[in-house]
Amino acid sequence: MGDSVLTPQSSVPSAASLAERLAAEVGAGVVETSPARLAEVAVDGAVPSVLVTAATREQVGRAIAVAEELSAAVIPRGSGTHVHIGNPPRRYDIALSCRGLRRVLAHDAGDMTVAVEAGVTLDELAAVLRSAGQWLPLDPPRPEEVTAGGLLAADLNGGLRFSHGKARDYLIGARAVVGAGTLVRGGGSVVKNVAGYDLPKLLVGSFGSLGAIVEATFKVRPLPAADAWFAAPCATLADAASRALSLLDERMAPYALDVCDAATADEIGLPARPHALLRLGGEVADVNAQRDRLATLLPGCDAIVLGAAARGFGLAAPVSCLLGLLPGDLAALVAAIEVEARSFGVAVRLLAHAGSGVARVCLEAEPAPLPFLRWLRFAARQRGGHLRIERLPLEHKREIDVWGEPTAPLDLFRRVKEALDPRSTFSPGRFVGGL
Amino acid sequence: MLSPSLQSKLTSVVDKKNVVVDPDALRVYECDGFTLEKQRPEVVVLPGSAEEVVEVVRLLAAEGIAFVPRGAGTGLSGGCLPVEAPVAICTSRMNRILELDARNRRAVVEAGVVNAWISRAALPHGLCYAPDPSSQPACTIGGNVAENSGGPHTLKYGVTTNHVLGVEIVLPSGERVQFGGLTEDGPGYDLTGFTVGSEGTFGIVTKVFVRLVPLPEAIKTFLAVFDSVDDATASVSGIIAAGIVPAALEMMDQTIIEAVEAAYHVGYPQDAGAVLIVELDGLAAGVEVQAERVVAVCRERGAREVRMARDEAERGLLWKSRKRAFGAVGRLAPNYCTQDGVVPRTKVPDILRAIRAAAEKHRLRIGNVFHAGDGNIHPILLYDERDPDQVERVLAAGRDILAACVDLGGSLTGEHGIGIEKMDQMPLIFSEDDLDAMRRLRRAFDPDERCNPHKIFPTPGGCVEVKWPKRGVPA
Repeated sequence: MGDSVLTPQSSVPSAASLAERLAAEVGAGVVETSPARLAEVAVDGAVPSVLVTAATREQVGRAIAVAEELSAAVIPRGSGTHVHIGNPPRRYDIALSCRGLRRVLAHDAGDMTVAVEAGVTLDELAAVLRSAGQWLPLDPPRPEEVTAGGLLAADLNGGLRFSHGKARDYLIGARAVVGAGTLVRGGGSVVKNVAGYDLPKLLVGSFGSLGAIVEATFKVRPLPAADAWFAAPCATLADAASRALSLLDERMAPYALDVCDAATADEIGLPARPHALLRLGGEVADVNAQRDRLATLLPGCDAIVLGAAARGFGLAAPVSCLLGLLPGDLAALVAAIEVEARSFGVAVRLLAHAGSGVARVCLEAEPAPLPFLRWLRFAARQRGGHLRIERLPLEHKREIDVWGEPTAPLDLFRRVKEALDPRSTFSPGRFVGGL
Repeated sequence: MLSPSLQSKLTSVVDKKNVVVDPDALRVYECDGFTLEKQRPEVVVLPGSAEEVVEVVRLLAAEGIAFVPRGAGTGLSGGCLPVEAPVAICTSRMNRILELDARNRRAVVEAGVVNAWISRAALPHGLCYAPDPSSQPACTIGGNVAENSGGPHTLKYGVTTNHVLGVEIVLPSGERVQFGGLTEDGPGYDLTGFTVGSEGTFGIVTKVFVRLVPLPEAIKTFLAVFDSVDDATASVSGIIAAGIVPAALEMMDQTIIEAVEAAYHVGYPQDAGAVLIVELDGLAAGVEVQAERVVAVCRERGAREVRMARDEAERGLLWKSRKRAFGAVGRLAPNYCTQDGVVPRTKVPDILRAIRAAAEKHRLRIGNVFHAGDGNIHPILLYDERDPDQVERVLAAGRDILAACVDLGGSLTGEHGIGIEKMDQMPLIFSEDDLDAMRRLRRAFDPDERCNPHKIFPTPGGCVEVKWPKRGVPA
């Protein structure tokens, strides 16, 4: 057991003994070993020995303590909508679902804060907040499935980030179970707080590599009186991007400033042409005033109803990646994408949060996507940006670094991981740099 | 004592005039805005560039010498007090705005750039840097990063961490590294977000990548005058309940009103129990609608008067009186100590009662000027430092007030940091496991704990006075 730090691959416990210990320590009812259930929680083709569906943070703690005792590797998960992001796991013994931690712990409407357990879905959370005229202004895909824990672990955001910021900006406190099954907390339950290191920031975007998030406290906002989408068809994708970005120079305060190509427009229920998409919200008077300005700023612009398809864009695609650039560089790069996609012979679909310089780019599995992806990463790097490949068939994942160039020295990431997960129990190998 | 050879090496890196060793000159560096404790460093080094910071830190690393980073010294929790750290490295000479990209709403600045300079440079482009601590004419962005500084406008716009996209930092080893940068969503842990608010314990931040925000189309600033603090706090709740997030929502009580009026002649009624400053900003159409609602809410809750600033000059005066309120209390007593605590917004009346109780119990005069919308209180405890008994009472009252914040579900600090001041109270809000995890994370950046040692974390065994005999004897 003590050797596992040096030789993490060694002494993997037998599936039966692992299940037995977990059943004894965590509870027989929460441990599953049926092949069908385990296949559902496979990650990049790796099937675990056991699925534990915890209902309390204590159960999460005990499961992790058992895992460390038996040198078993754990991949924490919520609904599993984004668990595909990352390298193939180096080891995977226990799938630890936090989906059963489903309590809303506190909603203090007057304080504009809400505390939930990690397994609460965003739709469940939204319903609680809506009853008090509030919302958490984040719009990741599939809110009916995505859990609070998953939102944070995978740092999921949508177009609202342009006006309202990201998940990190609303998380004011969090609890996670880290190495040795220890429960740690950072932040608190007040909207302004600088006591202690900002552990919640580390957990956001940690993709299950530091621990299992079990509780989160968010600050929330009043629901806007008006919230509406507008769309303008454009001749080309580059035209859509530059027209959307030109609005940044005017006295407009859009909630979101997105663009999509023709194929994406078709997929999300718009005419099959490139579009500039605009979300306006706030006081009714604000939305009306901006809508009036749009008549001259963005001719051809119409009110639309944008369904869930737009929010879930790209999740079902066989190849999907996330591009991060300066907003001003986006128009040039999407123009290049249109051209290069043709020369590589790949069919690209794209939805960009243009105001934030972020775009989701999707491809089919055939023809082989890697040459195009390599070009796209190079083009992003040239502009000081980056490309994270999220969904990719396993055989390709082995040929390319899905994460790309780290945003800080890898050695520091390693030391940060070791501080919370010294035995590399959590999602080993999956994070940036194979951590 | 630092060896003469090290001193001469430091001099060869930064030039003689930028190595301060004269005891009188060092007095400037013996404390920050938290003046209850003082400790003079042996040497202050003022590097002019990140390259010089690297060289200085390497020299210190080679000899295992501890150091503290220092910006403008406006901190309020003793965060840059050199405790068992003979060297202070001051970033104030590194004060260039390196890049201002209006199109992408970004700026890259050196750590010693003064907060207000960024907004001044961005103004012609219709942009500003949103976090605006009251010390913004003096405090540096590097210090803001260390403390995760806030300010009145953070209610709507967020604090420093919401506006910093990347930092360049010289680690205690002397290695110069960058976390994050101009673009978002890059691969890896959010070390930028983790560094913001780390109180200078990870290294010396030399460069900061910030986000700029567009100036609002319209701003309306109101002064609402109340007979009682309770009416004013009820109005704060009413404004929030009406679905409005003002840009700022600030309160001053009678003690502060008196001092501020004497200093700035804003026209505050001397007999008012409390005033609120409410600022709305955004698109003109929406601000107009919200303004009517704010006025109605305040009147319904007993506002004696609700006055709108007629022009920029009046608005400027209101904000000057608010942001310089701390200075104005100098008229009331020789010394003052500004506390910083947080409670859930709806608990503001409870904490104000607790503050009144602490004032009575410890026989002190305490004024309140604070970010009511955030529940971030700033009781100002008046005293005379020549009277050791008063000093003891100020410290005791501060502890009582913070304990009350914690009891009400709040925190020890909203924007000033733990520093030296509150480290022993950390166990009130964090478990030993929480603190252990934080200590281990600190060592990921600073394995020897040489950068700003003896801060944030409670000293083992509790009382700092025992571990560090110099403590508790204010000069």
